[in-house]
Amino acid sequence: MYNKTIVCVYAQDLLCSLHSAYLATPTNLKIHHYLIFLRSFYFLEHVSYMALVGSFSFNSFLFGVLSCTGTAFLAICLWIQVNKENKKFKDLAPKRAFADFVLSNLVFHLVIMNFFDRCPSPILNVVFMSCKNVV
Amino acid sequence: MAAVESLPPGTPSAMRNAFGTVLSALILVLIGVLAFSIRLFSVIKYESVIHEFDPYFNYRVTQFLSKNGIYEFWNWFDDRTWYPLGRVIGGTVYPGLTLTAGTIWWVLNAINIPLSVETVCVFTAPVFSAFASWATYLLTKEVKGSGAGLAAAALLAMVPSYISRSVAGSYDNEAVAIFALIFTFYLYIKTLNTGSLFYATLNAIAYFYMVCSWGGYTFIINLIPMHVLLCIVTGRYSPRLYIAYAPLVVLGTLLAALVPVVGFNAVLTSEHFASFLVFIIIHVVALVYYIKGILTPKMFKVAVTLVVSIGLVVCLIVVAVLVALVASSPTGGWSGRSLSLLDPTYASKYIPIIASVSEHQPPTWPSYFMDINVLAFLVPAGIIACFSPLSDASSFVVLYIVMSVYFSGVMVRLMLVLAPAACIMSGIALSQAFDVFTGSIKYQLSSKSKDDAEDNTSTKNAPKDDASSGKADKGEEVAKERLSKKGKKKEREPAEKPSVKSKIVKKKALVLPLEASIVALLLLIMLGAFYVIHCVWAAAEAYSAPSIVLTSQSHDGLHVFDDFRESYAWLSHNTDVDDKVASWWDYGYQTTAMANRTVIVDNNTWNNTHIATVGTAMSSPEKAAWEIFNSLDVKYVLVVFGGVIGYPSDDINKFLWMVRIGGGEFPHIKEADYLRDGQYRIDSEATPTMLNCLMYKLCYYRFVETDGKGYDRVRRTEIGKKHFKLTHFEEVFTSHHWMVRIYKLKPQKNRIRGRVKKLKQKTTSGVSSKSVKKNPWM
Repeated sequence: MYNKTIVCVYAQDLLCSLHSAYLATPTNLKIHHYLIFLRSFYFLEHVSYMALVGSFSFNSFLFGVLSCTGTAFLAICLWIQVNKENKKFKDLAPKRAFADFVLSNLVFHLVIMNFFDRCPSPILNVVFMSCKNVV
Repeated sequence: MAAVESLPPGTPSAMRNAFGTVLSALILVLIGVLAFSIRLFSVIKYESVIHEFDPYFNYRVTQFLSKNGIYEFWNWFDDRTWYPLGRVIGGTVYPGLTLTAGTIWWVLNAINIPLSVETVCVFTAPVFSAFASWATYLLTKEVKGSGAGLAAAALLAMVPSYISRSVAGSYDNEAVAIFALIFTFYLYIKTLNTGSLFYATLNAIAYFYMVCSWGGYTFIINLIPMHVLLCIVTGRYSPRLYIAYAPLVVLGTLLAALVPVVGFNAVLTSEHFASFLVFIIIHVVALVYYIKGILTPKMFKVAVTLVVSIGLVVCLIVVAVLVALVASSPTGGWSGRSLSLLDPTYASKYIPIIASVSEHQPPTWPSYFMDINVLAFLVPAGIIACFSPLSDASSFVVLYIVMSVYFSGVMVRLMLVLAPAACIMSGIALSQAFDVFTGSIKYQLSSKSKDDAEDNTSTKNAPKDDASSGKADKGEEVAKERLSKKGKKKEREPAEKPSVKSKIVKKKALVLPLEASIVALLLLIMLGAFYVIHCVWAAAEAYSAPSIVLTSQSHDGLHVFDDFRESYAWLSHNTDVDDKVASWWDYGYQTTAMANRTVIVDNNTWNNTHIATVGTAMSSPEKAAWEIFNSLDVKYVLVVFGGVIGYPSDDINKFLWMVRIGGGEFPHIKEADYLRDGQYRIDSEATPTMLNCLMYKLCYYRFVETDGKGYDRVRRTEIGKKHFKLTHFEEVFTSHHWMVRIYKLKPQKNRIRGRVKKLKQKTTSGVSSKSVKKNPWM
């Protein structure tokens, strides 16, 4: 019992310090964190949907899952490179980092578009199919 | 070495840099020319022809691609092979090689250089080997510097193991795949060194090219996670590692899933699980480092204890789920070929087809020396050189060579993967050794011109050096090991101005005496000369045979055996377009490509039962074989027979494998029936089953007419049954040297004569019961 209370106290301290340390990060990084959190949330939602309903269209499952992970990790990479406290990346200009990010996202989305199976609205479906054929 | 710095032009070091760069470029061009030309022996000695078996399939696919365009290629269903099943080419072929050659052909024709498809196919491999040596230069430059890079590139241009799979005419997947492999590794190391997302994207694209080209891409997707794990475990985690690895996994898996051959296997099979596992691990580690960065150490300890206790429970649940998933598949999720790599005895127990391919056998010790020659004992020196200093890149190269040595020990075919690693290591070793010796010579020469300022440093010639100068004459290997150890201990040798270096810095510099350095340099150059001589000999004599044309030297000159092409040409001119030809699966690709006839089984070996059917037919007596072939609509049967000229890779030598594979599916074929006392014989001591089977009869029909005695030159005996007639087959073609023999199935008689019919009616019950038992296809 005694140990448990100490652990609880420690846990509270931990959360407090995490909270305060987190508040100290500059705002532009917080945007990254928010986006990453959003994407992780969508990823979990997609996986649970598949677990419930079954993986009928494995293509679209893959597309959903991997697009979430992909954009999430790419944002992480950008975050790593932009973070001012990261000494190893001091000589990498933020503009170059962002340009890399844009390029990799472009390639990533070109690739992931090939996994489109179908789309709810028929008009959008036609648009996406024609895009896919072009690509 | 040739580091590019922003120096004002005209200064001596800038001039030297410029000169170094130009010289490196010139050397690289020469290396490319060397790599290209050493592979041209087969074109010079024979002709510009496609070799062996697999390249004929790739050639046929490239022909189709060039004629019909890429959409037809993706949707191609080939009905001229694996009759009556057919084969979905678009979905079962690794398209990298054919697309590459097709693109080259298309580009050349668009700029009005009218090369034929065959020329492009024949010369694709040498061109890409030049690219591969340039990629090796880039890779080794990232690890150790451009001197090592040049040495490694020169070694790779000539290494016999790589030559064997990329001569002019060997139009096979490995020709482009090795280039893709080295290039992917180069981009990975470059990303690791610079931490730039741009190179990470390029890395993923290069990995995609590798997946398109060869099934060996699983080596990359398992080696890189292993290296990441190694870095994490040894405490070398850094953000660059994350950037190098995470984009590769996600983008790479996506791109791999786009290739139709791989498809969903990219996420479902065990070969890729390692990458996902390490992906999760690296995220956990990254998170841990991040939290460590924003918390005080005391808080961090608390966090660790909390997380570990909760996390362990979650981990156990996840692992249990994963194990259940994996155990539900009989092979644990691995494919047959990968499993036979991990467990070398697996194939011989369960999949005789994989075990029967000669390329899948373990290599013998001499084949190591034949294939990588001098590099075999330069590699340990290179490994030691990599450890001083140990960086991410050099740890990767060490891991690469250790893994490739293991896998090359399992399968001869994977010696090819060992070759680049061995070249990189040896390049590093050679370059370090050269550095040490030339530095010593320079220092000694310059210190002889300057007298006393270096009194202190000259006494640093440790007593070990006298011993080494004595031993340097003994043997190259001994000298190499000792001197490379010295290279490890010694720091960067004094280069330009002796008067500048302080005595404190150079206290540790162990300089070798002048004579020892010169002798060792000469020995190293001789070593290189031996290597070159061996490589050129191997390329000219051992690995340039196209195996579709055979030659032999005899007292009356050179004999050329062109029987294969003669028989395929006969087939294409003297049979109908829709006739089906049955042969053993070795010759399937060649038959469809050169004779343009439909075959029953070919080298793709994807359907074991179909191959077993053909194997059973070859092992059965004539009537049963006729029935099997008739049910498959076969018109012609082709066998390869080497007894007249002594060609050892003929069908009689492969026959036991036919029996084993057939017996694996149809239990009435038993291998023991064909062996007399456990020995495989075809002479008078052979078993009656052997003497009556179709293969024996088709090979030795009328054989006794050649020399009167029926002496088989390959088996070195006279054959058992010499005079016999064929009842269900008729011979239609035998090539010039009796190497290929083609038989036609006799059509069934229209009427059965009266008396025979009455007899048959009387014994209907007996006959029918016998036929029901004997015919396994009902």
